[in-house]
Amino acid sequence: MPLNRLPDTDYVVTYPERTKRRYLSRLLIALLALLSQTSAAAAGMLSERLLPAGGISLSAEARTVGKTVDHSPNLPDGGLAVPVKRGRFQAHKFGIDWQISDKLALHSGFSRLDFTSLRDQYTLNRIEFITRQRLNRRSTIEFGLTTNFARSLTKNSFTTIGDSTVRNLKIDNPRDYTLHSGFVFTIPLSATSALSLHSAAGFLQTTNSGTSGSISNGNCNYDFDFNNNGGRLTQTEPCGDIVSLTRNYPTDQAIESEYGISPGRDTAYTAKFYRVGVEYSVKKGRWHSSFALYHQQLNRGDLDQRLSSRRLESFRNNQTAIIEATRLTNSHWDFGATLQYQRRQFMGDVPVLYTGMTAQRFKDDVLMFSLKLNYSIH
Amino acid sequence: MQSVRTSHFRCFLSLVGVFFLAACGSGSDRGVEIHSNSDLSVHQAIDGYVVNATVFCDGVRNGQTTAAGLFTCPKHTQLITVRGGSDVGFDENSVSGGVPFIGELQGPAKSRYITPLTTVAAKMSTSGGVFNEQTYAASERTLTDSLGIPGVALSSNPIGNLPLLKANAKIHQLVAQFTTSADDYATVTGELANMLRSGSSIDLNNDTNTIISMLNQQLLVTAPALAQTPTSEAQLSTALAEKNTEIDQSSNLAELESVTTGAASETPYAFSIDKHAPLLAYETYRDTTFYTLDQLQNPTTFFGYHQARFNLDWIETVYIANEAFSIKKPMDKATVDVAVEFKSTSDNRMVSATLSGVKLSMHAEGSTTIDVEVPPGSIINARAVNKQGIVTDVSLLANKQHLASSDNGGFIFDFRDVNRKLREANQNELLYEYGNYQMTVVISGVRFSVTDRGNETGALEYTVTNAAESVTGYGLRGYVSRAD
Repeated sequence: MPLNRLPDTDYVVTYPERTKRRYLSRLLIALLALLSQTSAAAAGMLSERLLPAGGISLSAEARTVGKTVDHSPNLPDGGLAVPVKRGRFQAHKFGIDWQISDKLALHSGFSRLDFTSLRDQYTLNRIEFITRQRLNRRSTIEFGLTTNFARSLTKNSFTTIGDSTVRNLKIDNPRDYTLHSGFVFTIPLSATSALSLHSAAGFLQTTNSGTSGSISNGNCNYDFDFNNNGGRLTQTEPCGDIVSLTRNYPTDQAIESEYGISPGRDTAYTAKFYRVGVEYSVKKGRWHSSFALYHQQLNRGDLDQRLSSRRLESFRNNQTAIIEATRLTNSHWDFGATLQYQRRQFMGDVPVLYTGMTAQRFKDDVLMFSLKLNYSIH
Repeated sequence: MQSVRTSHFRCFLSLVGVFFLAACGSGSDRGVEIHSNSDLSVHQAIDGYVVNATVFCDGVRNGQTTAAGLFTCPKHTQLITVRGGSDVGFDENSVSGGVPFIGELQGPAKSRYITPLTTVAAKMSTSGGVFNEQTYAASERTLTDSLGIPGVALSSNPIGNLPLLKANAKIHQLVAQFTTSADDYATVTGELANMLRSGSSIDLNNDTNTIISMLNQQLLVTAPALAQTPTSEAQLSTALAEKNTEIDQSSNLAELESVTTGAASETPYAFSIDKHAPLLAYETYRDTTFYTLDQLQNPTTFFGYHQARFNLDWIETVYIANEAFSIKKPMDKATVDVAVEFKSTSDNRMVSATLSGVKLSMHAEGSTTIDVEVPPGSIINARAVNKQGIVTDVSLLANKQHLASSDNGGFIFDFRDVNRKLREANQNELLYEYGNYQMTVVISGVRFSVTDRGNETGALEYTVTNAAESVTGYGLRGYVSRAD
């Protein structure tokens, strides 16, 4: 995902001074807010020059995908719950932008992300902080920290591994951190249009405090509880001649030696990434629109190698196309809409979802639509 | 090889069965933790402190004794039984070592301390196999009067009460003279109780002849297998008098511990194993290979292997040859615990397995007959540690599929069946990995010896532990290799 889609800044300077300040600030506040939403990882496009120094902007956004699913999770005692139609993805965000000075701005945002499949539902929270510094009329740099986190991610759908069926899988305290720095260079094309070149690079890390769940093998049922340095498997009830069984794994390697999967190394990783993009912006009256393309490349090191060694595809890049439109309404309220196409859904956007067990799920693309309302105080 | 008359000598080798079965081992994490729970009463088994003994609360198995002989029973319990384990003297922190306690202690649940004296008093209050808690106080008074220690409360703490400890030690010495197993101990204490019900006075220092003779006469009627010949009776009497004098001369716990520890090795053996006779054998489709105890006990390696080498890929059956056994004391379904442990000599791999409550019968009438019976519902507890350090603790129903199944000259063990069971239990197949292993076999609850060209010495004491239980007793240790 485009972490650092920085807003263009210069093409608006041809406006008469008063009009410029008024409209430009509305336009760019809305635009930046939209950009921050469409670019999930960077979610917070700064409104540094759009608000007067000391100005604050509040925004609320809803985002979803076109697909729905008849969600029907497995029940603990067997069977399935009554299906409920839900969107496969929904996000809600609240953001604050603060123009600290003429050149320095800060964005912070809190989001709730809901992922729904036929059997499973995950909810993640997201917090982001981005600071942006204008260097000159055409150049801007930014630094950002984003984290996605949850108390747990529970997978209730059954997964077959060899002769065994994983009936329940829970990752405790999943979390990712993304640190990035970006640079934007803006080229005015006309009085109402501009081309911006985006680049960014950074590091990300995913962590968790353990994996637990239940697994069946034949008629025998087991609970497992693995942390990142070993764990335990316990037979839940007598099974045939086996009255009780407990296996204690002293290390992550010991677990991998038996199951071929390392709870520690397959669910937590560090990665480097870079991203480049180009954005064309145009405005007309109270409307502003833009079209942008981004390419992101990730290197997850150990995890990529582990996937390759298991002859699984490791998805290392993704592309995003964004079309957006913003309508300035009055002196405080702005309204915008965005259409975003992601090739390899959510890759780099929600890194914690990408694991050695879930990597193959990122092969699909996704189309997202978002609406946003912005209120500025200045 | 002599033929085995009965069909199940399965056990000693169900030992072997157990061991192959388990692929387990390593020390336990068992802690000595007694919770002050209102639903439980706390007790201690004391001769010295008896640790790792099996506890029965009103006949229901309820764990094992831990350090200082501590254990618990439900509050409503009436009669406590403590069987086997190890007498570690008076070190309240010790959870292993000491001397195998070949005995069975009993006492009322209202007594915190379960000792040899409470055992006799409890049996005095037992009639038709039913313990009468109401008459226990009277039995206690009768017993202390008979022993010349009137007014001593048997339920008081023997530690710190040297006269009470000495009285307990003397009773234990008396009973141990006649016993080779925990079952024998129960029988002899029962007969002693029958004698003392009448209030007969006994002198365990100056007149051991009388009590030995009386007890022997009683045993001749009720348990002739335990009775002594007149010659042996006289020897026992002399030995007991000497031992009791030493006990009386002890002025502190350390001296008393030294005297009583020495006594155990002088008590009789149930059977002896000839160190140079074929003991462990395996059959392949081509031939049969025997190993003697002497060969098994040799730790040296030749071209990387011990003398006892197995290639399990080719083995059809494994069995223990009974011709190495010399039965000295016939036993009829004596209750024993058995355990086997294999420990790699080059890494941390281990396998241990324990099986409690098996019935051991041994007779030497014409040919040696050994019969090991595993009661239905018996549980094999096992622990395995593999190369990756994965520790597996498993409890398996010891149904007959796990055991030896032939009487053709030994206890024969079906490897293929065991292997299948191992896979079912997700066990590590330690014995299917190449390497050299130290093998330990333990029988708790029976005393035996090893004969080396006519010289008889008592078997050494070992403890095999897993997550569920420990078995301490006399045993054998040797070395085997899993070869190509």
